Amino acid sequence: MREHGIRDFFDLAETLLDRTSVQAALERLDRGTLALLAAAGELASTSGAPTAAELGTRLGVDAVEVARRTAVALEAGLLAEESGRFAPWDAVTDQLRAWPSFGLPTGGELAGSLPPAALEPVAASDARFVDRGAGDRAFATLSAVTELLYALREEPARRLSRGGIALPDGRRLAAAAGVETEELDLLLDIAARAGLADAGADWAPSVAATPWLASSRLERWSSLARGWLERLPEELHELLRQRAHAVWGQGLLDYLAWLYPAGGTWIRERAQQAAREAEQLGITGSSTPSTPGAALLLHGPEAATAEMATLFPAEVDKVYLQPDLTVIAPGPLAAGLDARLRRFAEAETRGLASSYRITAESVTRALVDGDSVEAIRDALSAISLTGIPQPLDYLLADTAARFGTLRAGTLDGPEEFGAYVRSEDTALLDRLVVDPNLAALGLRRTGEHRVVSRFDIGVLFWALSDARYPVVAEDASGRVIALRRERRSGGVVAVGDDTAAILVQRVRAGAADEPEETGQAWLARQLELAIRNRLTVRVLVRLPDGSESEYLLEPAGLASGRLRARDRRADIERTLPLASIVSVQPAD
Amino acid sequence: MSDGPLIVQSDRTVLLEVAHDQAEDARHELAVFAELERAPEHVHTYRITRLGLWNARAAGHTAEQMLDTLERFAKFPVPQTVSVDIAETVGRYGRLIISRDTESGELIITSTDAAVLAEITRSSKVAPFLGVRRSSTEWTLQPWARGQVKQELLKLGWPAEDHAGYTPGTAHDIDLVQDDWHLRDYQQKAVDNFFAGGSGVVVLPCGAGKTLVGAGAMAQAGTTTLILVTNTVSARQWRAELLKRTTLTEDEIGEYSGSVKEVKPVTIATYQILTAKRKGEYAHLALLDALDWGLIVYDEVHLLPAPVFKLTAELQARRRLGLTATLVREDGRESDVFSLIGPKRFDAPWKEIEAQGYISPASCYEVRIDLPDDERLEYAASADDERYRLAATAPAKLRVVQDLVAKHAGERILVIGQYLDQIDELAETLGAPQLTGATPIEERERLYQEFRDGTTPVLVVSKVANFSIDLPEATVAIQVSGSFGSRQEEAQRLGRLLRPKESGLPANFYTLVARDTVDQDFAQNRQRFLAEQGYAYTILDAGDLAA
Repeated sequence: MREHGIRDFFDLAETLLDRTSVQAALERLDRGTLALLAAAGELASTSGAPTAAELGTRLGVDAVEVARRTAVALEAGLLAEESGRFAPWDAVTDQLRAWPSFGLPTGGELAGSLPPAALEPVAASDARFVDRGAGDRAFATLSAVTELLYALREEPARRLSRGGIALPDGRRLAAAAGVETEELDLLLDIAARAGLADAGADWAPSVAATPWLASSRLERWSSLARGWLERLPEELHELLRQRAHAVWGQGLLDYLAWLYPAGGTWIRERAQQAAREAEQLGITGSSTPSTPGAALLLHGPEAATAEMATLFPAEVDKVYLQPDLTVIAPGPLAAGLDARLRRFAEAETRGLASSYRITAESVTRALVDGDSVEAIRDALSAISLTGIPQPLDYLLADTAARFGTLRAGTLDGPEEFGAYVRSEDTALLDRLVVDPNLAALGLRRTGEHRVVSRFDIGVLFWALSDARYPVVAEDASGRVIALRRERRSGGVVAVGDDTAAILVQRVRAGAADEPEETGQAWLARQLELAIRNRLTVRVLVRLPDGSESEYLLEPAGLASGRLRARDRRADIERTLPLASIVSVQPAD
Repeated sequence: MSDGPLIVQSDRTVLLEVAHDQAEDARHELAVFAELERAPEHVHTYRITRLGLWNARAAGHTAEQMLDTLERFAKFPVPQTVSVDIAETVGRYGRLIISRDTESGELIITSTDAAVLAEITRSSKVAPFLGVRRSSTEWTLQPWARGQVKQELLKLGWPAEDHAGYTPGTAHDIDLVQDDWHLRDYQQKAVDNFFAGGSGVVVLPCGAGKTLVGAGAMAQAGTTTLILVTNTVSARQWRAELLKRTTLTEDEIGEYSGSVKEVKPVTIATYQILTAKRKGEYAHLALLDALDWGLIVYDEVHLLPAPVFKLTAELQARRRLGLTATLVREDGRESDVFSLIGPKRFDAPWKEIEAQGYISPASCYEVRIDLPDDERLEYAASADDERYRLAATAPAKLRVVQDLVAKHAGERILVIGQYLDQIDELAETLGAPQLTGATPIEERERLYQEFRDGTTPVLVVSKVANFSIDLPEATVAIQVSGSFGSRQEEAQRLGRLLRPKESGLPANFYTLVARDTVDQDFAQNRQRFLAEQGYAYTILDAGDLAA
């Protein structure tokens, strides 16, 4: 359905009844409902709109099934009910009649044909193979989503209007998650379904992401699996339940193609998307439900989590500290320890084992957040299998000694604007003033221990920080504060793929903003139709003196609130303000 | 699954917990098919690559053996994707075989898998090298295309086994003279593996006796040999070593370099002369066919210049031995080494050889030096492109060098610098001779000899020391300045200190770093690299040193 140029309800109504829109709506209906629409259309045109009972007889189904199908068709806005009789819109009947010419089933075929072959069960030996692969993938996806959320927390990713993520952000996120950029959309969808990431103008972690990151691996997997299950399209839910112990694969797609005969790419994409995510989450392996996957479909997330527990590797609580400043966890690290390490170390690679790197910057960040070097050293000693190597110890001591040598804050005196840097190390302040890399800041010495800049604290702080000066930001009371490039969005925004619903919502929102323009919009709409169809119309115009006059016009253009038209009687071209037009009538 | 020392990750890295009681066994088996990437103190990282798997397959190991190693020593179940990938990748090696038709002598390519042969013969990259199709499983190849076709097949993911044989070359007796020494076990094993495989590369760390492996291979081949080396100094060291360790006499060894052009049964040529052009043409190509060489030795194969690959592609009928400390090339052309020189035939990890007592362990120290305020101000006021030089040549370093030389009095010390005026100043202050690119070769050799015999205990050297020069007596290296922290350069520098020490003294590698400057940034890379190589790394303040 076209999305552009829909400005009002008139545009919307016209669009919804055109052939493409009707077909789009039919594509979303299951075979039974389509058969009902075809039968209702046929009966309505021959013997009048049928009742539910007549439909049941015609289709050979019971009253409950007729009620289900009519409810679906009514909800889709393709069927009308009046006094217990049902009839589809003419455009719907016409479209269904035309189906055979597109290679789609006739009404008779819709009602009559049988579903494709039976399900293919999973052998016990395959199940072990499936479970092993599923466990691997579930673990890997969990790690990737975790890293993705940490990376988004650090800096949200710009979302492009045409879909996808801006390339630089994509690369950054892919590197953080240890995946290819092509895999990001899928991972973001998984996170979004679980309510962990929001797709506004930017992709950002939701408020639910913080407790999720702090929870255990199994709890995290459980919420991803729950998110998948809860957001599973309704039409797939029962279908997959029935296939909890059967191979999905092509058999599932064939069945869906039968069930949604006009579904085309829509249903195929939905099914494939659900299947891809299921594969990533270990709900399936090689298109076959794993033991946790079957438990999820049949008994819910808790049962699934209990099964997944047997496939996940055991967690470790000790690490190796190495002289190259890396920290290696020789197995999955418990979430609490992982979070503690991330306060003062950069996460590098994730897998069964994971590595972190401790740098001067990461230690400084922790100190700004209120950690102390002693606390960091204690934390490391408590989890290290091998003590603290000398180069790491040196780094901690050196960073602590340099920490806060420069303190930057906002100038807040009367008639002062910009930011200051203060330090007891006057030689260091001397160097700031002559550093060509900082020349753009226009630093001025205003005292032995102080330089100022007209730029704000953010600009000053990051310039000094990027130039590797030991700077911290402080507030008016001298307390060290963190300056982060961090954003976080609010609640979850519902993501739908029903274009019509979105358009109605959008038009309604637009109409609510500008209710007084509805009348004028209607006029403009009629004039546009006249322009498009080269029609002559009678236009009643209110003149400046309050009187009204009627013109016979052939509208030529409508722009900037003015109508340009040829006056058929006077044979001249007129330009009239839209605001002065009272009504528009066909000339005949 | 055992609670073993290996953690196999889905990104094809394998971590080895060094302290585990099965670590040694696991390391030996793993090294067959995985490349060691980092070897810091506690956890080593290996990577399973396609080339590594094919190298292992070429050496006779099967996918089942490799998977068995992983499964036996793994701490967690081996990711399924890794198992599947190893089996699939290894299965690709040897599906294509290049050989000679026993009757016509034509070069042919065969496969038991017609589909694979069909796939590769359809490739536009391979088509120019094909002759005629004899059957669904056999094609002839152009006689000149043996090297190029191997390169292209590797790129297509179907590495071919080369069974086309070698020209024996002109026989020439060469024996090792092992009166007061013997090939070490691993050197003999390297020679044996090489001959069993045909052609290929022996990977051994600096100081582990790669030249002796070359000499051993020459003795076993007993044929005229062309040895290609990185520079003239290295050529002369090869010559001296061959004279000392083999029955070869001066008349039998020729040097083919910028200054001398001798062709003898054993000829040592530089890469530079081989790639020298006159009027746009390689001027010394005739050397490659000057004699019927039965063996070509490529020293420091990781430095082999790109044009030599092209020339080597045409030398596939001659047996080729590559010698190197690392298969990692900074230009990423490892696959060309595999295709054109041959697969890896022997690989010994540095630390393992060290543990056998053949190489003294080196301790690395980074000495941080506070610059005085006036120097720091000058540094701060300078543009980025001047800062490195200012930091690297800070006068404050001079005093620290003096302290270190005094601390190691009586030892053989190399002081390494990048800037000539700094080298002048260091030489003058220390009263030591200097050795730069401008020093004539004879003078260089004289200074090296004096250093070896102890008459000159301290040498101030420029980048020239980075080349393949054998100075086994050095126990201390002090790097005052150096160019921008290339990993290869660090490996070379450390290589100076890894050579076996007759003195029994431990080796010490000092790097002087001006605090809070770009010098320190580069030092970070160095620290990472050296620690990753498994060397003890300590950071010192210059003040502590004086104390």
